[in-house]
Amino acid sequence: MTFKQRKINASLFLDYFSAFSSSRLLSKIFYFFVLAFFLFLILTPTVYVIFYLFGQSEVVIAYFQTQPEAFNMIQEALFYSVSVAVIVSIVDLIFGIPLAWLLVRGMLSGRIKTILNILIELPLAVPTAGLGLSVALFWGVVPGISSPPFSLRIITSALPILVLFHFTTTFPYVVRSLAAILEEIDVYLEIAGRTCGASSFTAARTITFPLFRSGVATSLILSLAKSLSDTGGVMSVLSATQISVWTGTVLIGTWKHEIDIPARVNLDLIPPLAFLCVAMIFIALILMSTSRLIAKRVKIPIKKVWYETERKLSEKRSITTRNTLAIVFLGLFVLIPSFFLILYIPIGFTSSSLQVDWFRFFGSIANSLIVSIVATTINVLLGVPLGIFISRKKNRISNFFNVLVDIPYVVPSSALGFSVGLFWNAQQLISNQLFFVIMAHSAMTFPFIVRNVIGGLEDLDLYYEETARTLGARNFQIFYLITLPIIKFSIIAGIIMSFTRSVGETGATLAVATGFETAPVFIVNLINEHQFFNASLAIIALIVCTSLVILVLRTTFGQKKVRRV
Amino acid sequence: MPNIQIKNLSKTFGYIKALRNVKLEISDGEYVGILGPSGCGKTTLINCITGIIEPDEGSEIRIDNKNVIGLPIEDRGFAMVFQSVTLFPHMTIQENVEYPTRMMDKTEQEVQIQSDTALKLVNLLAEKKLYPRELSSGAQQAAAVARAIAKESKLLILDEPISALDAKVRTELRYQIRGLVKKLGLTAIHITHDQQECLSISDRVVLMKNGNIHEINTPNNLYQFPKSLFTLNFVGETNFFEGYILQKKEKSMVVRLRHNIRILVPDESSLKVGESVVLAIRPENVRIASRETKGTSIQGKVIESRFAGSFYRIAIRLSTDDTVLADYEGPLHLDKVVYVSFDPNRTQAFSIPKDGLMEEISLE
Repeated sequence: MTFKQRKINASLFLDYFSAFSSSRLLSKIFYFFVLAFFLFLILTPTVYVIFYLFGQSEVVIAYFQTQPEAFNMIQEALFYSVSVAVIVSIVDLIFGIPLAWLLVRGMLSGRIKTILNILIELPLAVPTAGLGLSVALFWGVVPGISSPPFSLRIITSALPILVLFHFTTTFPYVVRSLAAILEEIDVYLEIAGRTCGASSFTAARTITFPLFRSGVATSLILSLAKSLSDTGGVMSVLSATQISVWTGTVLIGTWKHEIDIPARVNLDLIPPLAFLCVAMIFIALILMSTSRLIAKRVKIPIKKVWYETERKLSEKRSITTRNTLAIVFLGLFVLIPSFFLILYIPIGFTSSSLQVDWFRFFGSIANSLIVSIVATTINVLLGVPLGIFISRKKNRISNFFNVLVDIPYVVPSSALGFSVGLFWNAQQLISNQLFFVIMAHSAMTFPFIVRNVIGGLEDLDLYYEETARTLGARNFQIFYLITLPIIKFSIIAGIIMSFTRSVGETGATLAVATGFETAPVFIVNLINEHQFFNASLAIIALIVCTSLVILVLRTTFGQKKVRRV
Repeated sequence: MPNIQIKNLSKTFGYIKALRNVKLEISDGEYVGILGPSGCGKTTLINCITGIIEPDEGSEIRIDNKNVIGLPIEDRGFAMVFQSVTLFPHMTIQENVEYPTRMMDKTEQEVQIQSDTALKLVNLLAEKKLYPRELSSGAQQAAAVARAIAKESKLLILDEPISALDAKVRTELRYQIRGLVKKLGLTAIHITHDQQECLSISDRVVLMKNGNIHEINTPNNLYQFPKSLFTLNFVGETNFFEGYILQKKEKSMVVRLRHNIRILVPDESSLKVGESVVLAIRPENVRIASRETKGTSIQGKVIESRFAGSFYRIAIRLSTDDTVLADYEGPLHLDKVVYVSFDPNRTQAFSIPKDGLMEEISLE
């Protein structure tokens, strides 16, 4: 066969393949499999715990009757989780809105804006277990070590230290999402209001704010979800400061550990733990729908004007005060506590002996990378078609899936992890810990890919695909030659988000498997063992590894602004 | 009385001088059009007047004899209509038009009366309960005009208010706006890049080029007797011929074009014999005849004949090797030999610019 013939044959095959792969029947079968796999791999395990609890309700009641202290622990855990989440979210908004305003509307020069943006996003690079240790060192009292210079050592009780810790994990997300939404609102509406005689504060209140409400709800939900579900950071901060208190996620992690300790396997704890998980899930859902409702219902008065007060608030002095407060909050409550760990490293270097268990160290990082890479790959394979299905097939089924996709995002990750473990254990098909962890991480990070694909496709005009169709392209060719190259950057952004989230996750890992040490779990364990210096080194190693993977991804696939969530 | 005085107005963005020492006076009750190619600084000028941006040090802007530099937008005492529809999407048309009066501490009744009056002026009273998205884009912009009028400022600033609308709506709305401004005795500054719009509604046109005011003139003079080649080229269409002055006669002069072709044009006293000149003549002032008129006509051949609505636009290759555009009542055959002459009262001679003709008329 000559080269030319071979080429013709190959192109015939491609033609045949694209005709076959573009046929209606095949596309139906394909989407059916994608939806079925999504339901089976991602969604069912996520909500399995609720069905399980229904079957075990009598066992749970009986357990609490014999062990009332367990019920008290749950009460305490839920109290702390909810009150911390609510306080943190409200304070985040109070300081986040002025900061987002300054970023978007503040007429900052390009360079200052870039620097401010980088500063705001910097804490996102640190795994939450690291943030926990750093916050403990800055605000709290860490017994048994010589504290770094400038450490405040003023917080000794649970509620304030938890609130202070969560600022570092939630504030960057809140500001980012508020700024992204504010960017979408036409600044000329506000200027038009001012040409009508409104002071800048009045214009912002009566014009921009009412249009900004859904954005506020989104940010509120973001910080609620984030602070309800954090496990590793909470464990680190509590363990380092030796404050003993239960939060929802810590209790889930602890009980799960007790269930699986080889010496005294305590299976009785499974039903009450399921109860706790379901309670966390419902609390998350209630808080989120409440914030959505509040944002929708609360009417901002648009007809009333408080002339004097609002004019005063529009003066340069008030604006400077407001901006200064927001920046001080960012510095004192987010940036300094996030990176305070750096000051501890030289002290640790001189005062503690370096006794790293290298095998455990590298093993845990390898585990983390394997889990994240495999989970993200599953997400891409399932999530890209699902995202296309949701945004391109506008029908009842796609709307239904559009709502379902976000469920893993709202459910606290340790509750999700426990649910996944419970589901796969019940199937008795596979008992591999690595598999469990991968499934949990995949379920937890799944929405990132789908949401990014949907977002990318919404920006992409249908026009391109229709043009390709008029030129004779088939479905598969359109996907491969037009759609995919254009949404590539959205997919990469989704991959980066899913990967970083998975690498930093503690709660889901602890709740789905026992004795499986990923890097954040390793860090939390070191902190529990009070090996702060080793923990610091592990944190830095993890940051370096994550950055390297992201760098490789970005340089391989080209770089574009990461889509903001 | 809102007269406006602008002196030494400059604005620099990095290395770019967007405005260079602009000086402009607008008197009470005037409808001033600001015209210029994109990037000429008209938007920057208006942004400085309104306070959206602050000009460089040393600039002076007085509205109603009050220096407004440093004052916030809301205290400068003007109303404004923008290019994009800036009706507040979460308010009804009525709430939008009420907005400026609500900012003025008036009673509910006064607010109602004022907004209804403004809505009546633009014939939108029946639609006042609707939301902006429920109106056509033309009606939306009319509502925005009503909102500006309801503020009862004596100064109205219009930043390309109708550029984004359909052609038909555009013509209707521009006369409606001018009518309102005159009826209410307002002073108006109207920015546009559409010269036809600008010429048809302004009392006075400010033509800007390269961050400077190039020419201020009445619409008629700006078109018929512009002071520069740039204006001639930017406003309307013009034929240019290069030549030199051969001889000066009483009230006229003889200009020699290429190939020793001579033509008689009105005298321009500042020009001397022997000086190189550019002759400018608009297509509607070019006459086409089938017979030669000695001394004033030039022979040429029709190379293009295009339908242009109420007339035909004919392109003719002259024996001077220049190509001239002329308006004619009917179509002409290609290659037909014709004789072209210029309306002597509408032909202008300018001394040749020192950087050359192309540089002078470029829009940059």
